Amino acid sequence: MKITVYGTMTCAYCFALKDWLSERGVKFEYHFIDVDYKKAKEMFEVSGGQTAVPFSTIEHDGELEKIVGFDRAKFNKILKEHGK
Amino acid sequence: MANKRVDVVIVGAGPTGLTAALYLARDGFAVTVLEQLVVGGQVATTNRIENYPGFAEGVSGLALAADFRTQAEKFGAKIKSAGAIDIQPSQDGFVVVTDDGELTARAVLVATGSTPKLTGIPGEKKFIGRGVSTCATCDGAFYKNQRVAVVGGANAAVQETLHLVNMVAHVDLVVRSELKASRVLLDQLDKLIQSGQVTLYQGFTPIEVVGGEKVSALKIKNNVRKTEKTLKIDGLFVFIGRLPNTGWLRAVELDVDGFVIVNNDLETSVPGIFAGGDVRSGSVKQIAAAVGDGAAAALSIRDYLSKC
Repeated sequence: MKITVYGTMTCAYCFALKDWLSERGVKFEYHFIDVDYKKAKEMFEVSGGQTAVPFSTIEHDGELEKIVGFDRAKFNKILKEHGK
Repeated sequence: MANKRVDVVIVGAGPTGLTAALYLARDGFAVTVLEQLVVGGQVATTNRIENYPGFAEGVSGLALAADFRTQAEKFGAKIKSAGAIDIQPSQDGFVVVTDDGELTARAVLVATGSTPKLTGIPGEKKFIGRGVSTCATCDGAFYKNQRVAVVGGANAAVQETLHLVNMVAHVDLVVRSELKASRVLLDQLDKLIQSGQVTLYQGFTPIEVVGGEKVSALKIKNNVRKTEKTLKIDGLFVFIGRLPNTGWLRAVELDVDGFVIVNNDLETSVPGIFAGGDVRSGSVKQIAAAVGDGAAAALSIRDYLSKC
């Protein structure tokens, strides 16, 4: 399972998600798209034009889940499926 | 989270919840604060705060929220990432049911704050996260050198307009009735209107968000002449007020708008359950007032706990 989170340096929800994943010992990549243009472009392409952060992707079991916002229920469901 | 017993559960880690946590923990009570989203609440999502005493040069919302947290934790308050689902009476006081287990407490403080209100106009819901936002601090960076509209006329709308002009090419500010922001903000706004960075549409009501893959325009209507105008924009930011976060709360009496009714001690219709901050009926929705509610609620809770 690979988790990638895209956020900005001024987004409290992004930091909250980052802390929440860290507290659970979940490994993830985090990209500040307001200072990393390449990653901003990547997020835009992967999300199909999403303009809200945090935006996360979870690659697992050959599938790509996309989560907009700090959606604890969705994260919980996927993490539980993977024993986290 | 295993079922744990504490003196006080505080639901919501905004200025009210964290202030109460600081006071109560400092008094030696076992306090757990539940937060389902962002510690600091609305404070943490505000770019710059200039009307909170003690910070003559202003302070970033994220920094202030972090300090609120640090100070509460310094005295032993525990902050848990969980959302409350219900408060039920029990033999020992109350059981707070959360989406991550249950907590037993002798008293509960509800400080869940509020959530941004949306206009409800056609197209708005479809474009949330794709051009429609309620957080300029979070999403403003997506609109560098683009045109955006802001809807709203109170402090939040003007404050966020002032923030957005640093990033975007232009802001159309749509105000349905009157501008009700503080003088210092209006003075700054006037300068931006004079310089052409902001265009003010006062007396206009937004009627539709238009776009294909993403937002391309906002239709507005003149309240008097009933004429329509189309503003070409790439993003829309909505700041028209807030709704109380009480959808989960069945245990206590609410007013007609869903805010929690309290007495002078900030106690709700159920003895032992208190409420304060933006979620309280009649609150003025200011950080300083929310902090004051936190202190007042803590003293009332301390008094309540000393009697039971």
